[in-house]
Amino acid sequence: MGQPTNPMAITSNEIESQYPNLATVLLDGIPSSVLILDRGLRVTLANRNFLEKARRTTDNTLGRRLEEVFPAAILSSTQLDRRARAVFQDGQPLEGGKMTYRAPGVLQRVYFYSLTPLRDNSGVVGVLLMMHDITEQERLTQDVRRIERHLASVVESANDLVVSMGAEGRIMTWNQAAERVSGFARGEVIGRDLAELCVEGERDQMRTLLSAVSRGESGVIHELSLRTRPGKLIPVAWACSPMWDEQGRIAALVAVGRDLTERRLLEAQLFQSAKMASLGVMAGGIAHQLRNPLGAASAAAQLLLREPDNRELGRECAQKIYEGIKRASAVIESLLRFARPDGGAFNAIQVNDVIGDTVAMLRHQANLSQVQVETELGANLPTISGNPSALQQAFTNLFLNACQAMPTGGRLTIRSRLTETADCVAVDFVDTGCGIPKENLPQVFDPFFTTRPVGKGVGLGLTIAYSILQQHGGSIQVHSAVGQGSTFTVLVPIHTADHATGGKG
Amino acid sequence: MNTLHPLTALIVDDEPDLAWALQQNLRLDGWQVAIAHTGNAAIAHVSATPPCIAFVDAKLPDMDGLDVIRRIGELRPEVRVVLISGYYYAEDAEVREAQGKGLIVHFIAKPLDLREVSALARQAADNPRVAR
Repeated sequence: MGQPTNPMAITSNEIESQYPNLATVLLDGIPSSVLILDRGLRVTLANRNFLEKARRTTDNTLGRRLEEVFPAAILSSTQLDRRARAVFQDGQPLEGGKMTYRAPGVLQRVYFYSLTPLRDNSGVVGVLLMMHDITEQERLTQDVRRIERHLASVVESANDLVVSMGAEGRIMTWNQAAERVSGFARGEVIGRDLAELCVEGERDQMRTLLSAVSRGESGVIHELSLRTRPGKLIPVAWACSPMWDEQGRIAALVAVGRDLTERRLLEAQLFQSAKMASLGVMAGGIAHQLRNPLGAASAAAQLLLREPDNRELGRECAQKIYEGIKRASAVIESLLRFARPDGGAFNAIQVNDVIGDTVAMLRHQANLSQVQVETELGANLPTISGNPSALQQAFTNLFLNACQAMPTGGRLTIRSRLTETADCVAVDFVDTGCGIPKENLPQVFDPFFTTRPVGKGVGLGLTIAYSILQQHGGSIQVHSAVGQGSTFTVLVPIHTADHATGGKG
Repeated sequence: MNTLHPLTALIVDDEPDLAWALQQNLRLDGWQVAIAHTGNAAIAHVSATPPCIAFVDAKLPDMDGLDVIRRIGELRPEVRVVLISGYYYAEDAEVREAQGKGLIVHFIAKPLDLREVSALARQAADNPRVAR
């Protein structure tokens, strides 16, 4: 031959002369069962592995026909005899497939078998039957399937929306909760963008969020509403994270969403009750605030009646009456606006406007207990994303809380400013009141924690304020020293284009 | 011995329009009427030029009206003081105590009846107190 020959290499013809027992060693060494059948389908060779697995001996195997060696049930299910004959006839090997075989006294095992023709010069003289024991692999595969089914049922029965997407963001799976909440069946959304299912104004935010996740960032909870099939808006808190493959690449994106409808409803009810409760606390101040302009109008009207012919005085009286009524109407207007339930919509707003409304409504309340109210409003503050009515509720509660800390009078300073990090607007409520003992500080935001006597407050004011600020992605901090007063600082993140309200889930 | 200027009155109320109406009403009755919007202004006015009668609101921005009245009682006990309020009622303990101690000669609830104001002022003019 033209090929260079390796002095160490040997040809197959030389194998038998050089290593006479190689075939026996190989046959008995491999972890598979091997049989050789002749044309009459009699066993001419059986290796040790087969004899052990099948619990047979050479005596009752060699020279026996296939049907004497294998149970009839296996032969009929695998059609081993027919297939072996076909291999003799066609000379083509056959990848047989699975065979379940149970020898007497041993557990059932699963084999993968193949049939290979053995030739001499005249043609096919035998068929090699190899059986690989795949019982373990089968068991593992079944375990994997069972775990997969288990996980799938966890996802399916979850109460939260579970959506998985390819790395490019197309929806791959959509669980039952997602179908139920959105009204869209799996088949309608597979292959679409999750952003397309969000409400019109928030699609870009969802795209921004998912593209951050596809870069490996897994972030805060974002609240973005879904537009359901019937067109309804459903607030959903989304937690999105990347799914990594073994090479450390992002294989998929997973979004878990919690339907906030119920929670929003309860919160709205709670806010409404809290509003009504704070109206009760403010009642004295409100009455006074109404009585003053009405009292002035009443006195001016009496004066007008006393001097019907004095035109100069009359004109002035009419003016005072008109002013008084206007002022009383403004009080009623602001009360109604405060008491009215609202839809909870978030807008870009100026925190100073909310402070202004709060102080206008409550200044009299403060005056009743000799509390001087001062405002130091920061100029050119950036807008925040907020619900003005909810924020006014929070500020009202902080205001009333400050007044209650100063039963014999004092000074309440409300200051708005940009934080040093320039990412939040801060509002300080600084009072010169009794202060909060150190041991009470951790509890001031707890529901029903109050130091006031029974009937003077239920202890929900600060809790509600805290929860409102959480809804705005903000927080409240408190610093206090007994006898010197307290400072409650409200922090609200400034409004940005890809704004997200975190912490709501 | 000197008597107070017979027809001088002081209105102490932080509500300017109400103070104005009271002032106009008493002027029509022939009084000289001064106005103070705060407790401190009232005390300063009383010590400088004690009026025959003072109408004092119970809630003032800088002080409690009853404290202002106590101070007036210490400075010029001869000044007749009428408590006016939209906050207290005649039967409230604070009002009764002030009346019991002679700090106030009368209490009128808001909204005011101007004829009652005129009548109280006339009584004061008819029976001026003598300064010590």
